[in-house]
Formats: sequence, structure tokens, C-alpha cells
Amino acid sequence: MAKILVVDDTENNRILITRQLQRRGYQVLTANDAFAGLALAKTKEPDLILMDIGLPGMDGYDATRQLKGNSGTRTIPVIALTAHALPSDQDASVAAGCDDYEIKPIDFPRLCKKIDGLLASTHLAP
Amino acid sequence: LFNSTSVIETLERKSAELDFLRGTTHSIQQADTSEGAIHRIIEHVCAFTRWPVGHAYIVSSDGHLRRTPLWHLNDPALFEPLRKSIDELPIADGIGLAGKVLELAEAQWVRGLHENRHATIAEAAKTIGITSAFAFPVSVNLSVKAVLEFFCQSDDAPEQSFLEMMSTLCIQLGRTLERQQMTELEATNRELAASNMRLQQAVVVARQSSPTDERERDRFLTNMGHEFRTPLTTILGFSELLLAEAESTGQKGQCEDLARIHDAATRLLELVNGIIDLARVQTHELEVNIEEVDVLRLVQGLSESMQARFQEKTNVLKVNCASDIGAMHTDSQKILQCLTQLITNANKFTEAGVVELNVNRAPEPTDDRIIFRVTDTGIGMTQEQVARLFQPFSQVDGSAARRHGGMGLGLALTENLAKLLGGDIRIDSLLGEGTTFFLELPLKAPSPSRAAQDQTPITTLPYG
Repeated sequence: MAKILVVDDTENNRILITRQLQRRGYQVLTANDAFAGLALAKTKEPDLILMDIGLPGMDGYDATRQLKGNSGTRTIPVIALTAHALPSDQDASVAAGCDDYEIKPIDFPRLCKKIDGLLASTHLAP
Repeated sequence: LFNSTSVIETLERKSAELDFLRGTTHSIQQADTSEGAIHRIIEHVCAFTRWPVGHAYIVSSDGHLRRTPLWHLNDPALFEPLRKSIDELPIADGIGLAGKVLELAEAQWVRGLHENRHATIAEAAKTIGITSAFAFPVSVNLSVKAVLEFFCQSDDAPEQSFLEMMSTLCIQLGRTLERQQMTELEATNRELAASNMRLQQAVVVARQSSPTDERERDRFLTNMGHEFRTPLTTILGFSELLLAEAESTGQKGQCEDLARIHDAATRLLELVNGIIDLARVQTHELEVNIEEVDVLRLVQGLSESMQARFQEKTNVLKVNCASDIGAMHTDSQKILQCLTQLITNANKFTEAGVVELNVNRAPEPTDDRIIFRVTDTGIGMTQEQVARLFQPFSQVDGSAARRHGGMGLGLALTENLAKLLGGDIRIDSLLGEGTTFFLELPLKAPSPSRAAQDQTPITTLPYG
């Protein structure tokens, strides 16, 4: 069962994403900021990370840069969750090393296709 | 014999009372306004009782008595001094007959007016032979909304049956007033909506004359729009989740309700996105991403994505596009946004009809444009309506808006987007016969001034 880490500072989003992923058979971990997210990424070794961009303190781009710069977490695929459809947001997420991005409100069937596509490369689709 | 006479008299009196009740009730129900209804009850009561003078106070929204010009004077010349003296009395809660009625919310009776402590009233009463006064409360939802006051030339105590009739009539009047208030409220609402519409149009006009305010306003709208998106996203997300859960457990009734919530939230989000886009395009903050666009593929993809919405309305979408139409260098997402808007609109205003999308290259010798024609067999528009169409917040008319939902926002945005891509929009429409929108776009969109800053290739995503 694929293990997915959700990093989002909004409780409603964490609950929503968790329940939508759980009912599709994923195992879900959550963190409410980048620091907790980075810690969980190292200790719990998730198969994929959903990273909200607008996080307080350290934003999702910087957190992704750290993940991608660390040998232990470099291979974990990261999907950025952005609030806007601005091309500049998309570029920034690519530049930070995100493997894909999803614009809120999340289209779960679409997101799950992205998740499965990324997991398939590591043979971990649910 | 004695008894039968008295029975007949009683019957006759009862019959007259019934006529009075029926006639008065009918009359006040037919009145067009609250004032009209009050005036009618005064007339009927005075006619039935032969009381020479009647009038009304209205209780204002802050709960105080207010004088009205609603008077009945049997003999205007004779009773004018009384009216004048009454109109000059101070009015206050709990003071005077009407004040007492307001305070106690029950009918009151006072006699010996010719000895009244207000000299002017005593004088007037003496001159014209008025001796007593009756006042009745008119209540709506347990609060007194009006007080009816009558003067009479006898000192006899009122009969119980009469007091009961007055109570019935005052209840009827109260209901009529309540209904009138509702319709007056509705009228006020309609006026408000109309003046709101005018205001919004004024904003559009004012925008042209004040570019700085315009920018600030558009920034404000953009920021506000983003604030709206977060809670909306939550509503959308959870209604979708609950819907999926209800579907998997087979709770059909809940599914329908949740689908309604989800649809409403989706519409609201589309609106908010529209406002953000319109504000951004007007502050030139909307980025244009030029790429090679395969026109046929774009149109086919669009047609597929629209099918479900057409099936819902039993309309048919026909797409005619030559397979060798070729490619454009432009922003495909913005074209899609324009076409989606035009086709959605056409679908909205068409019932069991056909919407056609025809795509052609502009004829030789120029051959530098693609013309997208969206034609519907819907309700059509007058020239006046067409002229107002591209103003944000404008709509053909209120009733059509209610029937079809949505705002004129989408068309204003579409026009702005078309201009951003170097093109334009035209309309042909005949009331009752349908509408054709022409979206003309150059094969090569002009390079946006901001694109130079951004050298990296840009991937486009569907919006929202």
C-alpha cells in the first residue's frame, strides 16, 4: 500500500485529502508545516509527497528544494499543490524540483492519475 | 308576537353586521396600498356606525405613532376644527387615546370629550356635539402597526358584538398590511436591484475615466477573489467527498442534495475565477502563453468536453472544422476559455435546439485569421441588448437571468481575452431567432509585452 505524506497548513485540506486518498486505498500521513513535513519525510519514508506551496515559515518550494537536496529523500516524488493557475507558479514548482503540480481545488481523479503515474515508476501504485 | 318581532330585528341586525363584515373585508383586500386599505376600513366603519369622524395613526418602524392624512369627515366644513385640534395634539406613547391603544394593544373608549383637559378638543367637541371616541389597534404579528380612532355623537357604551366585529376587521386589516408590506418590500428590492445594476454600469463607465482607481479596484477584486477561493474550495471538496461516500453507501436522497451543493459551489467558483480573470486581464496581469496550436485538435477536444452539458439540456452541439485548417501561434487555453464561454452561453439560452461551431480561415487574400462562429437557435436579442452585452454584470434582462443563471461577466472576459490575442468578437442576433457570435483571431497572436521577461517555455494548464 503506497504511503503518501500530505503537507498542508489548512486542517480542512488535510482532512479532505486524507479521506479522499484513504478511500482510494492509499495510506496517508499528514504534516501541518514544512518542518514537520521534512521530519516525517526522513523518518517515515513516504512513497510520495503532496506539498502545499503556501506554507507559513518555510514555503513548499523551499521544503521541496531541501527534500531534493537530501540523499535520503531525493527520490521521493513531490506533487506541488498550488492555489493559482498562474504559469509563474507552475514554473516555480518545476524549478524547485517538484515532479508535478495540482491546482486547487483538487480534482481527485486527476490527482490520483498523477500519483499513480509517479508511483508506477517505482512500482508502488495501490 | 312580541318575541317574533324581536327575533326578526335580531336577525336583521345580524344580517347587516354580516354584510358589514363581508363588505369591509372584501374592500380592504382589494386595496392597492396599505394606506388605501386603512382608508377603506375607516370609510366602512363610519358608514356602518354613522360615526361622523374617523382617522388613523400609523406606527413607524421605530415603534412610535405617526400622524397620517387618512381622515374621514362626514361634513368637512363642520368637523374641520376637530381635525385641526387633533392634528395639533402632541402624540406620545401611552398618552392620549391612540397612545394608550398602542401601549395596551387593545381597543379603548373615552367619553365626556366636551370636558376634555385639552381645551381645543373640548371646545371643538362642544361646538359639533362630539362626546366620545373609540380607538382600535391593528396588529401584525402581535405588534401594533396602526391605530384607528373614531369620534361619535353619543355617549352609549359599545356593544360586545360590535367590539368583536371590529376585532375581526382589524385582524383582516393587519393581514392585508402584512401582505402589502411584503409586496412593498419586493418592490423595494426590485428597485434596489435595478439601482445596483445602474451602479455597476456606472462603475464600468467610471473605470474608463480613472485608470488609477481602476487598477486599484481590479487588484482589490483579485485579492478578494483569492480570499473567496479558500473557503469555496473547502465547500467543494467536502461536498464532493460526501457525495462519493453517499454514492458508495447507496444513499440516493443525500446524493441529490450533495450534488446540488456541489453544483452551486462550482458555479460560485467559476464566477470568482471569472472576476479574478477579468480583473487580471484589465490590469494586464494575465500572462499570454504563445505556442503552436492544432486548431482541429483543440476544437475536437472542446466538443468532447462540452457533450455532457448539451445532453443535460437536450441540445445538440455540431462542430464543423476542415481537417486541413492548420495551426495557429497563440494561447490555446485562452481560446478554449473564449469558446467554452460562447458555447456555454449558447447552450444556456437554447432549449431543445442546435448550437453550431463553425471554424474557418479568413478568405483570401488576407488568410491571416481564423473565424470561430458560434450559432444558436435560442431566444436571440434586440440591438439594444446586444449593445449592452459586453459590459461586465450586464444581462439581457432580469427574468432571463433568473431562468438561465449566471452573469454577463463571462462575455466581458471573453471580449477582453479575444483582444489580448489580437482578435475581436462580433455578434449577429435577432430576437426570437437566435444569435451568432464571431470570434476572429489572428493566426499569430501579438507577442505580449511581458513575455520578453520570461524566457522559459511555459506549460499551460486548464484554469481552476
